Amino acid sequence: MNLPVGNAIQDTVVRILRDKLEVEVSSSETDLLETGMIDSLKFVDLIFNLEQEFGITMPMESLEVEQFRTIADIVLLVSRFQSPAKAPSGVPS
Amino acid sequence: MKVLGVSGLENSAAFKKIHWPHLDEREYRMCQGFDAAAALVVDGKVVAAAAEERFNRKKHSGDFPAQAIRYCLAEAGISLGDVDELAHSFDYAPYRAAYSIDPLAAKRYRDVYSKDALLSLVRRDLPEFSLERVQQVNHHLSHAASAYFTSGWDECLVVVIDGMGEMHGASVYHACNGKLQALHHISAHDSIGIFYSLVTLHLGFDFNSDEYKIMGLAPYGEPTRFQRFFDQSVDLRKDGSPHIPILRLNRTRDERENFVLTRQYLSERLVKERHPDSEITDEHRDVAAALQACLDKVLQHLCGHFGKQTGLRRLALAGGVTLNCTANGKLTRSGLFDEIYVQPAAGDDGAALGAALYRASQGGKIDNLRSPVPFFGPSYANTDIEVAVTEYQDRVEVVRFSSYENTCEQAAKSIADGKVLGWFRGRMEFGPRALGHRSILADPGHPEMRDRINAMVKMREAFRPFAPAVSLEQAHQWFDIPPLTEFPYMIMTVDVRDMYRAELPAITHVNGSARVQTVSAEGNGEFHGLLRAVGKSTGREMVLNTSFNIKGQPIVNTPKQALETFLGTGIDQLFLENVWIRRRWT
Repeated sequence: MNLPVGNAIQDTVVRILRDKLEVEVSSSETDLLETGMIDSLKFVDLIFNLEQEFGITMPMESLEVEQFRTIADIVLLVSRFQSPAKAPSGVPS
Repeated sequence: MKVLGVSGLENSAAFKKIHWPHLDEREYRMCQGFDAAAALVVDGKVVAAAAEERFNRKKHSGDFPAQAIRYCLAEAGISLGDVDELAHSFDYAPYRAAYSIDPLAAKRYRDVYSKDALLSLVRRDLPEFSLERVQQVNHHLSHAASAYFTSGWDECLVVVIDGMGEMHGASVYHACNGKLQALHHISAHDSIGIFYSLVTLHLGFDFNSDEYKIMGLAPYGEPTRFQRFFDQSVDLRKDGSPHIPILRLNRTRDERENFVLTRQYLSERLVKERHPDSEITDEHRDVAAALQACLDKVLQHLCGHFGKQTGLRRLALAGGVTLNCTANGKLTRSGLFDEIYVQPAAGDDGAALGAALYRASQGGKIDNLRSPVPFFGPSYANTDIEVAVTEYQDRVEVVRFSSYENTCEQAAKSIADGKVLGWFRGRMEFGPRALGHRSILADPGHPEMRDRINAMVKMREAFRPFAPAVSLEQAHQWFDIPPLTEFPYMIMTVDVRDMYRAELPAITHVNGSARVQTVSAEGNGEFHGLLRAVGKSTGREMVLNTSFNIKGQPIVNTPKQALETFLGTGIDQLFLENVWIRRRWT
């Protein structure tokens, strides 16, 4: 794996994908949707695991699949949920 | 408040056939939404419930249950306009984003799972019904409500286990004071139900249909031979969940849809896939035994974990996996709980009932009473019987008894004489088991009876044993249970007492177990009356009781279907209420 290390959120996302979802991703820019690595079930599993690991609540109804296209996108989304100032209603913009 | 619950996803199998056109017919059962049903709950009480298959005669039908709905309304004497809500036992709306992940998933959501898809069926079949009154209830919550609100308990643990709901393979709830609080969900990627069904398919039987046959085959095998494979495949985690990595092997959409790599793995690491027409060998029996042992362990691990965590000693179960009588029996005997209740229509037909009960509970507190023996289906008047008999009058001889007592006396004599009877009375059962209203009955003491019924009536696999129905008063005499223990729904196995196993060959499984139904005067009065009469003629208040159908067909619903099945099989005599029917030999 060629993912840069050091970003705590990214490291956790990569670990969730690898250990919980059994999805190996080669780059933070790999398109998880186009490659078919993530399907509907894994999408829901991913959200559940992100909520558990980061102690956040991600209302399923408010999410869009585009927010999960790459690891970089997921890291951005998680950081928004972690920051109430950026997502005052609990829903990222 | 009047709530009509419905289950099933009509477009589900059709969608799979369009988009995966070259699969084996058995593989089309690898999808959601079979066993459509309707259930009517009025002021918190179950008034009527029936599966659509009993009307359209397509086994496990997922069609929108228009005929079952019409029956429910007629039974209650109300019109559609009187219904406050129609509640569907699936709610995919929260997962809309998950299904927008690729164009085909999005189309499946739109055509099969979405509320719009449901509304178009309502518009087609119930055009006068206001669409604003259509509600959706999460699938596992529907199952959980079906168990909790018919348990008769104010507080209990509720565990739902099936193939999958919208996204989950099992769910755990704490039920208290009319509310269900979710404690834990297990992903469908770790679904023991899907895993059991895939091995069922691998052994040459039908996915999401024939799992009970594997349960029946298991006692003929030896579990240790393949135990290691199952121990490695299903990891029991400390949080109570099973973890099943081989369900995650599939990477592409096609692989995931049909579990291609999981099945390949089974071929390479377990045994070769068995063709349905090929012989069942010791190897297959041993796989079935190890699989069943694996399920027994998962059920105890999961339920035991949450029982311990919550301190709850009462457990209510629902979901298709909990139709597994062997696993239920072992869980009961494990001592993990003081009491266990399995909702008798634990499959997806029962989810219709649960959706209705859940929505009713949202409208106000409902009486939580233990489910009666679920005779929630239609009954037929004597005039209906006479019309059916007239149609076949050149082929049958008919005797009309003036009382039920006389009917029982004759039926008991016929059973003692070794005859196989079709027995049709009162309201049809809701759920998969025939509990004495649409049954085939015989003497369990005749050594050849199992083979005879298997070959001539049921046309089914010879290895499967039949179930006994026994009076509550005598049950402990024949079976290893305390006096007056009730098993009224035929959903648990118990052991036949050692000294009677040889005496009861038709209902004793090879491992000494039996799928017992106890029958009480209070809960199933007419059937109890028959058993009392049988006791006088055979010395045992017990009959072999199997469902009144032949292989591949739903259980009979109407007198005409009963007559047709009787005439098309080797059943010796038929009782339609108090009418005794025999073949006319010319």
